[in-house]
Amino acid sequence: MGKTIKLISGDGEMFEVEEAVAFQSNIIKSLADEDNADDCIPLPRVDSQILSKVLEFCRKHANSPSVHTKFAAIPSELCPKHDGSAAGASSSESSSAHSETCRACYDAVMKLVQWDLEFVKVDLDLIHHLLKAANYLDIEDLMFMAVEGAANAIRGNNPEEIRKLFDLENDFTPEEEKEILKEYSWLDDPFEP
Amino acid sequence: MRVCRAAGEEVTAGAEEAEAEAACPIQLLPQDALHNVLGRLPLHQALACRPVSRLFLDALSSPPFLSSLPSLRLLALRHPRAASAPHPSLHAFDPDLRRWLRLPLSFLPFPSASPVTASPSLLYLWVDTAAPFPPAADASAKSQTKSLVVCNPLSGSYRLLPPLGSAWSRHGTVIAGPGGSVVIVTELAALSYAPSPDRWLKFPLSLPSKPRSPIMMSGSVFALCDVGAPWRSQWKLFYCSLADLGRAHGWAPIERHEWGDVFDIFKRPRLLAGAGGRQLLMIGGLRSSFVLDAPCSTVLILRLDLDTMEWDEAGRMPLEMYRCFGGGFSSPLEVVAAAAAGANNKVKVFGGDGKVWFSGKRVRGKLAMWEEGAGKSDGGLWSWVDGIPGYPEVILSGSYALDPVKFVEGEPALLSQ
Repeated sequence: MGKTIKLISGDGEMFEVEEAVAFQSNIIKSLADEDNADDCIPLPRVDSQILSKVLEFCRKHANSPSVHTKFAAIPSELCPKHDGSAAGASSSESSSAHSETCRACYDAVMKLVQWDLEFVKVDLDLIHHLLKAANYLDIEDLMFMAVEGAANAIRGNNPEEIRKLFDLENDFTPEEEKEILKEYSWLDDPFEP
Repeated sequence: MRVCRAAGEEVTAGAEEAEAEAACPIQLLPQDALHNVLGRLPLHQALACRPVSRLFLDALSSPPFLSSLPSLRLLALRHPRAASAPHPSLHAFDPDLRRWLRLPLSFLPFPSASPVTASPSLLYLWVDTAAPFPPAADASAKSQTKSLVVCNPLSGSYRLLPPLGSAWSRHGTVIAGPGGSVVIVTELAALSYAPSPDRWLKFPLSLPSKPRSPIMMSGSVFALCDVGAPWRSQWKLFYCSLADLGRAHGWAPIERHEWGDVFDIFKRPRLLAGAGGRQLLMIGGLRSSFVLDAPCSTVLILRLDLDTMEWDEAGRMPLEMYRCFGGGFSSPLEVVAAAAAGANNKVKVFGGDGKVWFSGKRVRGKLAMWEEGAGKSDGGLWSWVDGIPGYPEVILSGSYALDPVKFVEGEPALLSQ
């Protein structure tokens, strides 16, 4: 185990994780960079249940390119074929030439995305907490996937179902609701000229 | 992503309590989280969420959200009856979802509006603006003024351009330019308008003959002129940048020796803008021979790359399709028989931005469509578009985004083209 970071959740539980895992969070990374005599970072706004889920995500992403990385920019050190060691990479290939044609890299990243999509197939309550934690800790990929999870919950549902899912009240008057529905009704109008 | 609070900051007990009282988790999320979620949905789905609650409505109506939406690329018809009362609307086709939409035009406070052209993001219409003066004794004193209105049919914002005599609306070809500019071309003169100085400027047209099929692309007007004899057309391509319209030699021919007789193979060629703004499409009947009245073998689309100044063949209408339009005779007997039957096999060509549509009197209820394919030299994709109301006069191609386009006097903030 390389250098580790100690994180303290809001309810006092301690998590010790590798730097590569914890540094998925830009906030933790910048706090750890500061001179801390003891590397214990308190995270009062994240409770242990959520933090453990967040760290599960971070562990999976620790040595992978971000979902935002274009395939052409995946560094060859991260290629599964080369086993993470730069020495294994062919010296005659530039790293961009490597990733664009490297099937192993492409498959690995797509597999990760599939894992992520399963990870966010959870109830909305948990998604909310993940969204908040991802925002608070500034973990870009978790934010991206949590947003995707929330969008998936909305897709294909009508307003009433969406209200139930998000635990929202219909705070419109019937007249207001009618006006709103009218405004863009032409988008849904099955128009057969 | 905005971060609300850095870890380690002290949180007061009061704030924690207030949070616990909030109705539901989603209201505690930062505003852009909800924007991000809604932005991940397809347009129709996102808009369908407006009636969920005020929280969703506000998120969906906010300018940052609206301006992040991708544009809706639509093909709009200039349908003779659609734009007038009781429900003035624009019939538009969404080529991606392959379905028809009816965009309401009721936000325009004019008795009748006639769509005439579209830029990549704005729709232009002719409207009557003559104020109903008390009836004059002398009927001929009644002045007929028409004005162009430029609008965004999705956001409902519009702007009235300075009025013009009705002759311009009857005889001129309206061409939409970048940044809300307009050019109207007739045989002898051109009018040009730009939001600043917000007036029409008139220029004589120094072309050898009446311009055919004028279009605007990359800030210049392109047109074909017939420089041949009355019994034999000879087409030549001309262009003039917007800035040079008024100059004596603003119009210049575009020709290259290597082109040979590229124009002579066409019957009734038409120009359209190709995709990307640097390619010109020339479409017309492909002459089967140089005999004057020889029928055309099909419709040909050639593409001129303005950077390399080279022509290549973009597409050729499949024969089965061309036959539907009344063409593609395979024997002189068929030609004679068709002529005797009074066949009208004229093909009307419309489009822009790399898509071309064809309509014909013999093809009711549908249009043929050509789109550029993935590969440059693969001949493009030909298909039929069904469900066309009646016989469309003109097709305007546009791409409309939902962001609120604000027209402020003298300083319109228009969608970028």
